[in-house]
Amino acid sequence: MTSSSHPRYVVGIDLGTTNTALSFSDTTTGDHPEVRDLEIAQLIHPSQVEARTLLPSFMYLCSEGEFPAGSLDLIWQKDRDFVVGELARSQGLKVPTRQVVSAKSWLSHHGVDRRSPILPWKAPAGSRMVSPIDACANYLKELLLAWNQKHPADPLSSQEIVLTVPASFDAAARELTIEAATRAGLGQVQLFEEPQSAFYAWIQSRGDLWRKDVEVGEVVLVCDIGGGTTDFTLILVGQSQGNLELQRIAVGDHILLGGDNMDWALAHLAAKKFEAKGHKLDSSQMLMLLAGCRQAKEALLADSSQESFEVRVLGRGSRLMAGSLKEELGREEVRQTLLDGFFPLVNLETPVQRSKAFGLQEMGLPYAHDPAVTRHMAQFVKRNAPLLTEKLTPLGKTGTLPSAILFNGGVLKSPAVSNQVTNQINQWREAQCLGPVKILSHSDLDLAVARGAVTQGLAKSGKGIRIRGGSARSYYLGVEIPSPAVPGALPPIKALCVVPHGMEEGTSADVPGLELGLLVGERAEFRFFATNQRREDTTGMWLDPLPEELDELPPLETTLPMEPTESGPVEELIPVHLKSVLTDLGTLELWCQSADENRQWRLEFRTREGG
Amino acid sequence: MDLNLDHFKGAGIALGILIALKVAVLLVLSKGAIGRIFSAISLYWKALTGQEFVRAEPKPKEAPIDHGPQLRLLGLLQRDASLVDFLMEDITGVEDGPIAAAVRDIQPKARLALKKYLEIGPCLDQKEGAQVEVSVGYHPSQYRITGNVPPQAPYRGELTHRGWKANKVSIPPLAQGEDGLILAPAEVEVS
Repeated sequence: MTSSSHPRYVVGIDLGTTNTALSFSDTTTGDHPEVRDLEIAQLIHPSQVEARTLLPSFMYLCSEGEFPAGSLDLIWQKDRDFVVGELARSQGLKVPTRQVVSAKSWLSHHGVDRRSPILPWKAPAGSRMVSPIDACANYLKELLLAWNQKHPADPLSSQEIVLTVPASFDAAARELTIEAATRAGLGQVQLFEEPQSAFYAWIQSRGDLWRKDVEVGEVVLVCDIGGGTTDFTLILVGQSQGNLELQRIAVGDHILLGGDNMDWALAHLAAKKFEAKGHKLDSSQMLMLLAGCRQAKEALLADSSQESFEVRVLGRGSRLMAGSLKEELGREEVRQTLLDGFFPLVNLETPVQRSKAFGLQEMGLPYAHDPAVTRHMAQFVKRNAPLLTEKLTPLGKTGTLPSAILFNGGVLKSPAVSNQVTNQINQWREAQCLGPVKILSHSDLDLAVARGAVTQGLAKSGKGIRIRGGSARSYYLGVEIPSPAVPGALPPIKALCVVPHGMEEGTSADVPGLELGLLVGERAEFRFFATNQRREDTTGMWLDPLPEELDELPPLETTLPMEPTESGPVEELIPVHLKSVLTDLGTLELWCQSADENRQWRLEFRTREGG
Repeated sequence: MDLNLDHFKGAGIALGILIALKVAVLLVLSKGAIGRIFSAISLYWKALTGQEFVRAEPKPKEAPIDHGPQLRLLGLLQRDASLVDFLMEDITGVEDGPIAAAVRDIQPKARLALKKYLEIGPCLDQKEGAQVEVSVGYHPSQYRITGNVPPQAPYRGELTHRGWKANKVSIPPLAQGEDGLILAPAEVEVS
């Protein structure tokens, strides 16, 4: 049964950098509907389809005739010239130039035109390519097809969909995520931040007990380490009229560092051992070694009684045995490589290491230069210390450190890793004479985000607690300062705050301080900036000069259409003021409103690069 | 596994007639085969009068029987566990060390594959060495009785081998364009 006014299912989609998942609840099954995961049929090998709860977020663009005819067919699609999911992941290891990876991270990368075909990034000239948006749309489309196959009476586009994004996604990246969802045919989706979603999954798993697990003034650090990215968020447990209240108070940057880096670190460690004995491994042997090292990581970090793990590499080509090699990876060296390399215990003051500035840096994803997750965490915690003081004082508490931690992401399934992160926080707490941090544990760290998104969708309709979020960043419009023209020098600009930090979803604000005259028929363009580090700025505040911590986003533009009159188009200067809207769906809109309040034009992110 | 019967279609006319007659004669002797006799006769009749047979071009002597489906499992075991490489390698002169290393890699993968594609399990659940009874009317595919066998079942004896059987065959079928005779493609790396 489908009713357009009341969708039957609430659906949560986790569009991850390395894995995508969909969970759902049937709202017709009572007040506490069960949350289930969609089994996504996908190609595992050519001609071999399996259903799995995770769809690897990879796309493989095959050439004509690369696979036998019909071997890439799925029930819902024949004669495709691309693959998504597990086969795309594994095949791409062998042919990296045809594999699209980390498309989601590209969505938040300002340096490139995200609507143009630029992926795979390292594909040789003349290769088939897709845009980051289209790649993401394809992953979502695959979920849609898998869903519709199983629920023919309740197509996905008519369900209530909550789509998660990293908390670090700015307004432009969110806009592009919505666009990908539209291209995939999902219909209207609501955006929701991943760490909040993980928090909801925890609440869901605890039932009513969660209210006893935390107390007023609790500061929860959500630490999310996935295959390719790391994200930090702070959630404050507050109080309103005697009830617990949750507020997401800070989000960190999008750090491109995760479990895949760790597997490669071990593979290189093992490869060195082979090399020391005079065995140079070829690329297929390296892949074999990588798979072995992933197993070694899981085995040695999980089981403290196992002293070593044997990694094996078979001979090249069809001669397996004559050239087969093996090496031992000891527990201690694996722990050292992973824990000391990625999670060294550091002082809170230790800065994140930056690479030396190169005159000409290669474009591409801004991968983290510093592999130490703990140093990134230190930077995040330290940056937000003043905020914590400010938020805790009214609650009668003190402190500048998180008091509880919630883990998310596949890497933290390993107790050795999560213990190390815990130890790090405890070391900082001890230095301030504080007791150990509280661990909020929940079960499936791979699927928590999708499941939590469902819980959030249900909460929205009144079934459960909401986390107040608000804008994690403040946003600014760049306005040129009138100055004498100097050849070769850009005119200086100052910034007008149009959205303050913490502005609530579902609210709007008129921006004082700027009256503009927009010329009908002409394109008006503004530079646009954001930061998660300025919490005091208010709507209409001018910043001059431009502070360093502002990140530039793609410019905003609008063209006021000529309105036909009897005597033809009239050139007209329309006085407008600005209005900012944070929608319920989690996106930011900026409008130019005519002084007579009768007409308004939306400022859109510029679609072309270079303009 | 969908056993592909299509390749039987291509058998020659004469062979078809011969088989039809032979089957008809044989089945007359067994009970409860009226339907099959009828179809054998109708096949015979069709062979004599049917337009499609009369008009058919003479087939080449070697009927193109597609062995692909039969080899599919071997292809999968090669893909998942390099089993063909393993079986085809000449190990004369290779030391035990590398052989053991390879076996430790290949065997678990092959085992996993057999469990996955065949849900392979023993014919009998008892432990080897246990005393078992084989009752009257047992299926001869499932048991092999050896030793001092009395004239008639039931038999009692020691289970010396539990046997293997495929509990559920779920071998992914070959796609239309795949050549089932290829057990592993040649690999060419572009540098």
